[in-house]
Amino acid sequence: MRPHCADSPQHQSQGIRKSISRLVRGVDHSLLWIDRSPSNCHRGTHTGARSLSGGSAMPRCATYTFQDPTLYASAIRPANVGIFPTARGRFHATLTQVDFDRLWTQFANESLPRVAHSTLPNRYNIAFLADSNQPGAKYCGMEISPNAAVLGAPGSSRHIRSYAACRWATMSLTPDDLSVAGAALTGRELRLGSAIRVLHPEPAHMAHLLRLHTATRQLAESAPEILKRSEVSNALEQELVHAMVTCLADDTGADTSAAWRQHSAIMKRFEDYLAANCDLPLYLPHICSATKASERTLRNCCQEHLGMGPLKYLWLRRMHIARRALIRQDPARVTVTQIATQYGFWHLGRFAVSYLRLFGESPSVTLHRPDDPKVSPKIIS
Amino acid sequence: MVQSGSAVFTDPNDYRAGIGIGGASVNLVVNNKHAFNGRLTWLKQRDLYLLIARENVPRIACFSLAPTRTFISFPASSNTTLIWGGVALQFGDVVFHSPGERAHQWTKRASTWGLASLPSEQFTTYGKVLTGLELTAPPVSRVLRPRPSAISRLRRLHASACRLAETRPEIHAHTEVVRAIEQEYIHALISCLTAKDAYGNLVIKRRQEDIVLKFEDVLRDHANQTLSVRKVCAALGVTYQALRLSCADVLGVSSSRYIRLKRNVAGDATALC
Repeated sequence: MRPHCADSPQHQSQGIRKSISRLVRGVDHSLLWIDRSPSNCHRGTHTGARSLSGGSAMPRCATYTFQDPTLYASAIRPANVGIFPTARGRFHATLTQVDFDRLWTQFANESLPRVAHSTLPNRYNIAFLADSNQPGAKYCGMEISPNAAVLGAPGSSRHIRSYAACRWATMSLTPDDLSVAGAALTGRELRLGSAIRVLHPEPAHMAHLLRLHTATRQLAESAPEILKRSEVSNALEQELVHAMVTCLADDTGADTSAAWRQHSAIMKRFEDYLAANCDLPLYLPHICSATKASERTLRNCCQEHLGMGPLKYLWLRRMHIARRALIRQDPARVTVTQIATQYGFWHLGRFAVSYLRLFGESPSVTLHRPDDPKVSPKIIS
Repeated sequence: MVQSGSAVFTDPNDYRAGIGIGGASVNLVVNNKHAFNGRLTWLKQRDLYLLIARENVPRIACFSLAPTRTFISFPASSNTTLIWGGVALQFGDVVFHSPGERAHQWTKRASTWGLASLPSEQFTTYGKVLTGLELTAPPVSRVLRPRPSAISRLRRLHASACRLAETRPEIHAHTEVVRAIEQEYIHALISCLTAKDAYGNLVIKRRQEDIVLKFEDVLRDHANQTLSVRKVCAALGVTYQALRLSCADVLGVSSSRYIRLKRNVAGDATALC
């Protein structure tokens, strides 16, 4: 297990134990929204509150490190994610996941700026920057500061761009659980919507959410055995859901503009087309035809959502697909030229130079590198 | 099926036949006493034809373009002085040709120029997809001045694709390479063709070009006769002044010198036979 803080693991663990003890003692059980007992202890007047029978499951917590953006993207939940680092260098990411009975939390630390696309299948998800000592990020073309969060509805899709090394966090619940929790904790229906929305909660509420989330992460990374105690995990889950609902209830943000919705729809078609042709090199005429948008409109949308034009994005995507192929292929059977040409890189010298600039090594080095265990995800805890 | 190749020509007649690969037919008159040396490199994909031409001496060419394809041409090097239809093109200009156009193009010195074409239907489809507009070849050819980034991208792609045809023709056997070149080139091409006109209204130049084209027809019809300029003016129904100015602009030489140059070409062809 690798410590992530400057303090010694023992000292850190003791600190967390103390905080958790305070947390467990301090939970206002009148605010419980998840009914784990035979008696119904929902608060508020929400008549549709479900009685969730059965005992609480032990939370699943895990921390992984990744050097391959594709593997990293496939581990991120609850969304289907694609990630392309945009700066030169070796990619490195740590992902910590804690799945409580109902609530899933996640924390990630990435070493390079990147563009990501995610689609949420069946859960409401809020995402936020995990601390304020980092530049903002761009969600679907909207600048997000460390004091803001983004609510994503099931089925929604979004592009997220970070400008530097980034630490972010997410929390997610099913629509039923979130609506039950919202009604129980606020006494009214939460305004959830069916798309992406930027939330600007009260700074104190956001800070509280960040503190709780950080404590959860530290617990998962440094003292996961504490999370096995049901009273701790129950208390933590209740507190986290409460903090999440409070932030959602604070939101008075205005609806997005018609132009933004139109651009988002184009970007969704764009990503759907890319996903449908995930291993093929694609070019702008195909994309314009599939998205039913002119090059100019698509360029505006991409600049807004990705911070780069469609040509650069498609090129970046092709470079990453080619890299993936170079990593996977057997050097005895294929050559760099074959892979480069297979992905439409016909100027081989330029491909080699661009590859070196983007990934910090030449394509032949990638192809001939023996199976690198570091590329595979490493489970830390 | 992709065809590509590169060849050096010392005979202008062979050279002009080579240009025909790109879908254009050309009559070429060398306007210099030095030996002609030209190099053509071509890439002929399913839809897209690319051609790059390098010539060591000044010459006058009369182009006839296929009506079913949409053509563009442009100077491919900064020291090329290309005069098309009496309009001196700057490095960075693109001629967007009308369907089936006939026009003259002459050079002042050694030059390098590029030609590209697509079937007109494909061109319209791609234009609609990429710009959202009905982009068709103009009824009268236009000289466009695209943004420097757009034209340099087009030139770079054109040069790279043709260089590949010279140095690694086998790479065109890869379908993905062919598709990549075609898609990237078409995008660059359409981006250039949405630019504004470089010279505004070219009606006067067009009128001069029409006179010279008729002059060309008269020379062709009377290939075996000795023609005086006066007879030509009478046949064309224009004044000597109008013919002189038109020839100076569109051909870069006087009408009498052009008659002599054409006669020399005809004489060379007869001698070869």
